[in-house]
Amino acid sequence: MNQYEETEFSNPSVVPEDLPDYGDVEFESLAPSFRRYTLVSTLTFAIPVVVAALVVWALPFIPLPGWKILLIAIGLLIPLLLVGIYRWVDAGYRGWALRQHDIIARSGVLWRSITALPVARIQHVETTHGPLERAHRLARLKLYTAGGLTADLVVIGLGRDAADQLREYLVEQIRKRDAEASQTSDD
Amino acid sequence: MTEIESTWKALPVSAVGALYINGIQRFVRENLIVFFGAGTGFAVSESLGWREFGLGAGLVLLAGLLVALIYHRRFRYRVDEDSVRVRKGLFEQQELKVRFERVQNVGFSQPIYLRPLGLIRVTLETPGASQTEVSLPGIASADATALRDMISGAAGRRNGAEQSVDTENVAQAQTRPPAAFSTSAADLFKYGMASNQIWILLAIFGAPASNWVESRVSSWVDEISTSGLVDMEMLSRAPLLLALLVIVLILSVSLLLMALSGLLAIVRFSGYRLTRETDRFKSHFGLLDIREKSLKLSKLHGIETVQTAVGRMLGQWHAIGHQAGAVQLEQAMNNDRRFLIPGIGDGRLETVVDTLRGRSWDVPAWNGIHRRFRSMLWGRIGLSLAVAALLIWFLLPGHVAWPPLAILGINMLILGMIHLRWRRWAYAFDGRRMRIRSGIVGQKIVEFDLASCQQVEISSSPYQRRHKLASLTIRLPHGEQAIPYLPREIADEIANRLLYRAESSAEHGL
Repeated sequence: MNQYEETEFSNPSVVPEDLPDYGDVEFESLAPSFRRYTLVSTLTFAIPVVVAALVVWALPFIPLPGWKILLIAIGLLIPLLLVGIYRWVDAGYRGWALRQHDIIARSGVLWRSITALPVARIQHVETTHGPLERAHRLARLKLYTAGGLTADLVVIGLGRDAADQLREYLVEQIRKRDAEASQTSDD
Repeated sequence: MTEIESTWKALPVSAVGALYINGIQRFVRENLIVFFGAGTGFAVSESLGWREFGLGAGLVLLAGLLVALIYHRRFRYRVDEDSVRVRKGLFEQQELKVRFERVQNVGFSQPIYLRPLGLIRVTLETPGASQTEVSLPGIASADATALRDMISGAAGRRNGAEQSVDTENVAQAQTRPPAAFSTSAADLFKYGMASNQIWILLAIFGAPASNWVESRVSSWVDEISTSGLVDMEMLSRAPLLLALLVIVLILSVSLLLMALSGLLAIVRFSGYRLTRETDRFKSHFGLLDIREKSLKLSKLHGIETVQTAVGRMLGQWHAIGHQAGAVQLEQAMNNDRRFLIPGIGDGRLETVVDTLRGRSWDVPAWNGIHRRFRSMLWGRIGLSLAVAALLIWFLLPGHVAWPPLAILGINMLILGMIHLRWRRWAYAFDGRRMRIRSGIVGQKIVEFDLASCQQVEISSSPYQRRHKLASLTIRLPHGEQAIPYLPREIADEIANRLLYRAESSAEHGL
């Protein structure tokens, strides 16, 4: 065997056992209307396919028999159905948690990921909502850190009020932090 | 310290020429591919001759002169107590203001055409995108040094008592402080040979150049065969000899390109000197274009050391001091903003990195990643290629042996590369600092302070979960670093540690 196999399970430097463990947090699940929102937003993608199928079927000069049109439409809709199912299940797994010093988000069904973003590193916060999200009283929270051009962490499927509260809270934290930083550097 | 008067000032009249050359250069560089296309077009088209070409070029040059004149007329800059303001714009006016605190790098550049005029181009780099950086395309050298000292003086004031040290330092700067690192021309030549820049150039010019080479070569082959020097009949009867010839040809072209790249590196980095001052590093280099870059210690977020595959053969490394900023974008645009230290020989690497870090690295042990990284990739890639080879053997009429064998050969090569990649990927801690190593034949080591972590992500595929593994992605101010296939509990532990450091440190983001 080689040296790496011997060393791979050891951890040479000492870590205090009582370091806060991000694994201990209880994740908040998303707003209850988020599941319905994923369903509706997936369905909106199905509308063009259905409309196109109906139009083709109704036009007299296209020599395709009805069952073929149906087959093509179903062929297009099956991937969409899979996406819909995935998003439905994913909505149940997604979650977020706010600790005193960071915000943690979890997502994915097969390929799962947990992302933690220290509040001290957030440069800028924003909430956005599209028309469909508005209809479900949902919003997404976008968190930006230094160096990134795009949002570094996007928490989707938050209730509008929860998202606004979170944003206000984080903005307040950033403001306090910056005030402290400028005070220490003025001394 | 010389003070600069706080009024709106124009650039010196002599800077118009500099603006002109600079503008033309930039125009050509940014439209290189278009130019190449146009060149090919001229070469191919018969109706367009040299006269038309000259006319077109003349028009562009004249328009450039006009633009340079207007630009100079409208350009104003003003140095205040704590900031620099610039007004510019051809048609719309733009005003930029950069506070000294925000500046993370003051760049000096003196191309050969500015030298007789005594002018220097100054660039003030800020953590944002390159569009927002302030550049003074040509000011008197005395003003430039005064500006630089004001900016570093601002940093000194922020840190209170250090200012007196800093002014002392300015005096010292005039007497050239001892270099923390300097390179010889031989090292630079090796650096150029090892750098992969030439291959990028080749990728850009490869297609049009290969057309030309092809037509040339075929005419040469014709000439040679008609001259009777080489018996073509004999060559075509000896395929191995022909293959050998082709390989020798490819090798010699590569060597030629590498030598060219080495010479370019000497021109670009000639006389490279790295000096350390109280609160910043300074590098000074260049033959035609003399440059000086400075990097504040507090803005140095990560140290990257790189050894390319060729560099490994030559025992060559280079180091990059990373500052905050969108690295992906920078690399796509140009690499000019990086704080690069070229031509570090094997033996000197540690000293250079220790200088950048400010102290030595005490824990030499690397921790590898889990062997399932290798076995999973071996299993999936190896098996699927083997199946493909078998299928091809089965499906091809006459069961020809060489295509499946070729696939198997490539397969073995890929499996070998996976092994090397697995063996190379590792991480190490030393107190509050972390290093991540990756690569296949060459290697890249990125070192950073745990507190500079911006975000941590732990992800796992179904396979990884089955074996209690996870992959860690760490976002730093200058880009992302990944460590795949760690035992889950170790990944968690590292994540906790990074978060703890990032959250408990007083410094924030930038």
